[in-house]
Amino acid sequence: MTSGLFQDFDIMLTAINLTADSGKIIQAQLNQMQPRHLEDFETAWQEVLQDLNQDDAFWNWAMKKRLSLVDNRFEAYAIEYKKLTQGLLWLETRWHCSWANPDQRLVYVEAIAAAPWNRGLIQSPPYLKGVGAALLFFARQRSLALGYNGRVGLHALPASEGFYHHEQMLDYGEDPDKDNLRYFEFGIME
Amino acid sequence: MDNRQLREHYEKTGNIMDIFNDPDVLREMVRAEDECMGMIGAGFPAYSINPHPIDPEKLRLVMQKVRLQSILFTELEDMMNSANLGAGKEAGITEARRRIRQQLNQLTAEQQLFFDALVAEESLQPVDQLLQSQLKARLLSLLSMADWDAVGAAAIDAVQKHWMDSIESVGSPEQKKSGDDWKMAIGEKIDVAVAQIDRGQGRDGQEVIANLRDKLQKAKESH
Repeated sequence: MTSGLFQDFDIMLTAINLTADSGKIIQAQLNQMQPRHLEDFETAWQEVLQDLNQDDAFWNWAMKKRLSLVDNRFEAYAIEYKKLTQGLLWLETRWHCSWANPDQRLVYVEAIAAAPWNRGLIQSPPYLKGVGAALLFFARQRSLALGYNGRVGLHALPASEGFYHHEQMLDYGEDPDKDNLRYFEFGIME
Repeated sequence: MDNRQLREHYEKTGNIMDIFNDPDVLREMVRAEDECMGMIGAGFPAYSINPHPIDPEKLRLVMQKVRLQSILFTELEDMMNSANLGAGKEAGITEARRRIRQQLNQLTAEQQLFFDALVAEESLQPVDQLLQSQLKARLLSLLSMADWDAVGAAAIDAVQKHWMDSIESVGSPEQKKSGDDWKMAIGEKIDVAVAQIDRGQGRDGQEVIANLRDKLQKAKESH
């Protein structure tokens, strides 16, 4: 697997079943992030948010962070359906260690976000469902592939904590070093 | 699905993503997202905590635009694939998408009508063949020739860059090897010289210069 941005032309990694707003099961693609995904994010996502008069801290955050992705320890992925970016995932794969076993490395989710039209608070029912779960599972898959035995860590937004509890990630509580967001971790997969 | 099952699945298939092929698992995933209104964000400052109320008509228009982009970009990719642009495809697509998005904000009334009908048809199966057959021509006419030229130029630039990257990646190990060989050869000569000095076979600088002077003098006298 190629790490970093835009290093490979063979970008589709796997097909994933998700659910459309009609309730029908559709097949989306998980790709390494490409220029067109960033372009979607910078135009389509942002345009939707502006048209709907919605603030989105993710947009500002990601704009500031995007340059740091030229580093090989970061990996970036996108879920695409009908040629539009439906969700984005940034991973850090070398520097973070498990809170449960500090001598063990893990895959850290720098950021995970769904397109505005896949968020129930904006579009009900969402255009696609399952995007977040698919991205989270892929982070786990990368952890297994890197020999980290499925360990994955992340800091969840307050509104998303329920989702990570449901996914049975261990809740380590608020992290004062990360704006008091709660830290969650998937332990070893055995 | 618990950890053990996932691990077993990974060891068997090397891919845990295909558990989404199981409708029960997918239903469970979707239920988890539904419970938190699709809020799955992590790692960055929160989405707007108090979102503004959304105008349903605005939302309808926005979603119409999103669906239209899907239709056009799917057609665009087909077109790019048939053009066989290789390493330039991605850059060409990105440039074309950017320009198409700009154009979508300034459609003529006639174009708007056509695209509205197209989006409305998209949900129907089968899609109206007449509209579908016109799509490529509509897509082509959406951008000017200058736009399509710029798309081609972006693809060509990407191919050129890809080529230069390939050359560099091929060349670098050779250059490195050549440099390493030179260092090794010089290192060996130095080792020999040090050994000679250690054995008392070395000559000091004054002696070397005196010898050179002698050789020059003799050469001068012989002419």
